Amino acid sequence: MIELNFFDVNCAIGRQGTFRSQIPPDAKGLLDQMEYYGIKDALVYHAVARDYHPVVGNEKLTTEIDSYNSLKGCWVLLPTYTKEMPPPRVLVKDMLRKNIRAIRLFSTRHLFSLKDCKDLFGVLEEYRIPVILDFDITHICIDKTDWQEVREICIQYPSLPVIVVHFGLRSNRIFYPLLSEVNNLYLEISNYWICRGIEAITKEFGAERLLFGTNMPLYNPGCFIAMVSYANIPDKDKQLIAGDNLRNLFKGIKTNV
Amino acid sequence: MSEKLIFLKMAQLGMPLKNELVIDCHTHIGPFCDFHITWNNVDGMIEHMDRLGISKAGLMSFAGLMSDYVLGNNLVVDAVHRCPERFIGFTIVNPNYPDDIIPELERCRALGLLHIKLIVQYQNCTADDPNLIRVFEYADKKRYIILGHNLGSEEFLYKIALEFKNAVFIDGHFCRQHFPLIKKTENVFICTCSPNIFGCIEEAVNEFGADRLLFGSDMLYLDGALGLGGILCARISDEDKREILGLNMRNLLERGKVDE
Repeated sequence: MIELNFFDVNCAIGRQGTFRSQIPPDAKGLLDQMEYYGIKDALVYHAVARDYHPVVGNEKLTTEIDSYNSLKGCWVLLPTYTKEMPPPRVLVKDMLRKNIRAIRLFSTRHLFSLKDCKDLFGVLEEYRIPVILDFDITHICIDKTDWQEVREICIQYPSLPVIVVHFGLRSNRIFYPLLSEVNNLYLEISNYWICRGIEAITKEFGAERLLFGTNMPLYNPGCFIAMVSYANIPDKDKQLIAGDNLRNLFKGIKTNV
Repeated sequence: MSEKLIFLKMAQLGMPLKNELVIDCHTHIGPFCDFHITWNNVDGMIEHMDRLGISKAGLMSFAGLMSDYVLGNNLVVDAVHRCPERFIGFTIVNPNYPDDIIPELERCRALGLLHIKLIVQYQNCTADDPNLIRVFEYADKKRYIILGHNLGSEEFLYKIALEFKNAVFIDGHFCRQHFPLIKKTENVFICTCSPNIFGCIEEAVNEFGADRLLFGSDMLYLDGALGLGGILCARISDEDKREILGLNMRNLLERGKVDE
């Protein structure tokens, strides 16, 4: 048994529009929870970026987490065709300057096709910036993930780290073939509740494919902390899933391209 | 270390709860058609229970959910006979076969399954199916526990709880809709499966106390650690955690033995 250095890849700050969070919506509110649960670091996006508009939310995020070292920023992006955001290269340089480590796409919520993000993915791949794909699950048993699209992105951009969150917990017959086909697909665990699911994926594909996440402020972090800590896998694998996989992905980001 | 943090620390370190009484009221055994469960037999269940420190589990089948309830009940009988100290068997019945409900309950009772699981929504039926009255009557007579996947509306559950006072009704999936019934009845309990919403355990304890909450994981469908972690890390007293983890279920099981 070891102390795990948790790094939450999937949480948000900001006032929620569709439910009343029990956590104060600011960065300090999240940090207080992280301290209680023993989560060392968190990759955070802003709820306003998801529920109102990414440009507004990203700016709020950058300001609100600026003075907190254990909170790393994740911007929500849109495809470039509607010119709501700067061109990809300008955007990425701005991101890196502001210490933003990953980007998140809500293609279902924001009504666009991932097929129209080729220019974005190309630049993100050059910099090795992780991309989080969120297909906006409404029920844990109903998987809205476009796994075919995920597969095409992973194959077309083999050096792009692709992280899928909120996929349906019953989907292992769909994504097992994909995990064996590509090396750049990572799965975040906060919706993958199946019995000994972490153990099964670790044994089949390696612990490197899994990332700890909590979906705070909606979900209860205790559930996912225990899923990792009690998993029947070596301690070194628990440490990878808990946080070192994500830390390694961030170490791989190229700042000079 | 303060009292509230001991169980939290155990969850963070993945320490089995060997010195605590942990009874999981809600588990399933067998493979499942919807997705692959890697370790889906008795050995896999026991291995997972031992890893977490779960002493006993209320056991029902996957097969009975929306397939052959007789096949499923036989699997549970085999598991209970193999490990009687670890499993408490639940019989699944299907309202699509009303004439077989009582014979199947009697058959399974003779084989050691002394409680009932209802999951009628998976069987294309509703909680208020008239064919289920005989189930409630039987459970009332035998002082059985009925664990329901979804026990219907607040009004319906209140009605049957009052009418069948000797039966115990466990809401199988932490349905907030049924919280008001706790204070209005004595025989309605809430299974904590699954405690994934932030603050849900604390909210339930604040609303009606810990003595009507029962730890249930829904393994082998869901990971046992998911359900356990939600309780271990909750901001409630250790005394409340112990009640939820096992003491409440132990009391219920003792209660049922009056009529064995």
